[in-house]
Amino acid sequence: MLYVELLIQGLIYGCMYAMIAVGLTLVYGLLRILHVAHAGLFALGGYLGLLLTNATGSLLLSMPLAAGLVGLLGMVVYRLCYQPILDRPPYVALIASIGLFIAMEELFRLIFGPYGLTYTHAPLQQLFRFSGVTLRAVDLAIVVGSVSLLGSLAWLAKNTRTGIAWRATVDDPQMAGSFGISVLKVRYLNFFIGSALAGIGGIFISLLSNLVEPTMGGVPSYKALAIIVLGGLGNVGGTLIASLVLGVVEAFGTIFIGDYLDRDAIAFGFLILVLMIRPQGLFARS
Amino acid sequence: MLRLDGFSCGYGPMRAVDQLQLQVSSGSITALLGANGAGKSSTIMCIAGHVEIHGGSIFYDGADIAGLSPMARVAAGIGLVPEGRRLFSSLTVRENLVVGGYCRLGEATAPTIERVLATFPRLGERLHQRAGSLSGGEQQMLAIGRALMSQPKLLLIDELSLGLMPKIIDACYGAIDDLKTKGMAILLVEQSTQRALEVADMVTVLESGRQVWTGTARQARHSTDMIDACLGLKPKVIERGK
Repeated sequence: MLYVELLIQGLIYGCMYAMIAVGLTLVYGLLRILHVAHAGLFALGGYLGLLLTNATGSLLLSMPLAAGLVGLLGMVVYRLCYQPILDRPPYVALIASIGLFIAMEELFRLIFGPYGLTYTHAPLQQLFRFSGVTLRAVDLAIVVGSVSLLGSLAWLAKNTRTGIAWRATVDDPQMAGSFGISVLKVRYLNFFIGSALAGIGGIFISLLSNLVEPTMGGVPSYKALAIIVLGGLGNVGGTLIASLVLGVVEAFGTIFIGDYLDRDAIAFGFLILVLMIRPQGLFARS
Repeated sequence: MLRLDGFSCGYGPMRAVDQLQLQVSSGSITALLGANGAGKSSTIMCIAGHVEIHGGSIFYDGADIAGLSPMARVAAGIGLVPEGRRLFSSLTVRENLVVGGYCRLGEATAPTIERVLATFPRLGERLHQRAGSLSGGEQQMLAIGRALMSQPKLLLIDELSLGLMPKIIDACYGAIDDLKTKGMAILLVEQSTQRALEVADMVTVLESGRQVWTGTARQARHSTDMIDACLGLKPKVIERGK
């Protein structure tokens, strides 16, 4: 039963990593930019979710609202931070992105203070027991929410005209543009969806720990960067699998080697080990 | 249908084609021949809007389209089969066709897909297969089919036979001959002179970006020595000509 519980805990964290890493890999796939500031949007999602929930008392209302706002800010980040420097070498965008992430962290510190904020009445804390396994409602919400959101995204990408146009643009933007697809609109859509998913990931983690703080984007951002490399840069399916694998390795590692290494150290140790063996990632595209 | 007047194009300060005069009529094929680097692909890509025009005009359907975006040119009825096919390799055959008809917003794509599949029945068997996993011949058929999805009146084809088996080349040439009889104007860039002369009505030869020969395919068939010379196959003939 311990192993089942560990597996479930791992999958819960894996879903959360997937929510942030998918947006990151979408941006990389389309623009070949390592969008480090994505972690700032993740933290912003946590803040907005918490503040709106505290103000309205409704998580159901605040979650889509916060995700939408973070998505819109993602589009603004693309327009102001990346679009003007797209013709520059990739490291220019990377430096800009790191700078923006640091600026966002400092802004959170200035606006919300250096200490964490908590929910007035933390939602989804009820306990459930299934065949001897105890879960909180928030655990279930993370799994159901992530699976349904990412599943819907996959369905839309596969079965709608817009989704096909999006994937065609990732393959060859110049040819896609020549067939009437607006590459600019695809980029905005990409940033909106990726950022909104990261925002929801931020809300999930704030619900798990009942805490948001200025630096909450730091560790997940490093992990997400490593996950998208592990999954094969730009490969959404690979990123999902890598997120789940990392979550499960972390969960088992905390039990078996937790006395020597903490959760994050186990995760990074695993990532370093895998990337030493397969530097191109587990699911790199040919 | 298409007329290039004093047409020049290139990349930044580098000129790839200089002062080209060329015409393609409805229901006919004009072959643009020349050796590697002669400027054939640059010409086609410039007509499609992907390469900068340096001078002259591109008249399509009576209007100068030099200022139009690539997207507007596709919507106006110019289809492109680029060199190397440039398919969306991670998309399926059907999805590639859907993208090909993207500019026909509001129109049902299914009947157009059916028409393309009638032209290339082999694609029908591969409809849900990824384009990147198709054979070279199937990819070329898909590239032509994708261009046909926008229901073009003018089709620009770059290197139709490159790297394909003779049987597949026959099928592709059969298809474009069929399109010609249906009234489509086709500008064909081809390195295989013999193949091009079998289907073309008019021929223009480029050498180092300059037009060195123009005439009917019939005239070209009777002066293959000259065309070969222009393709760099018999350099001594050029020297004598000079």
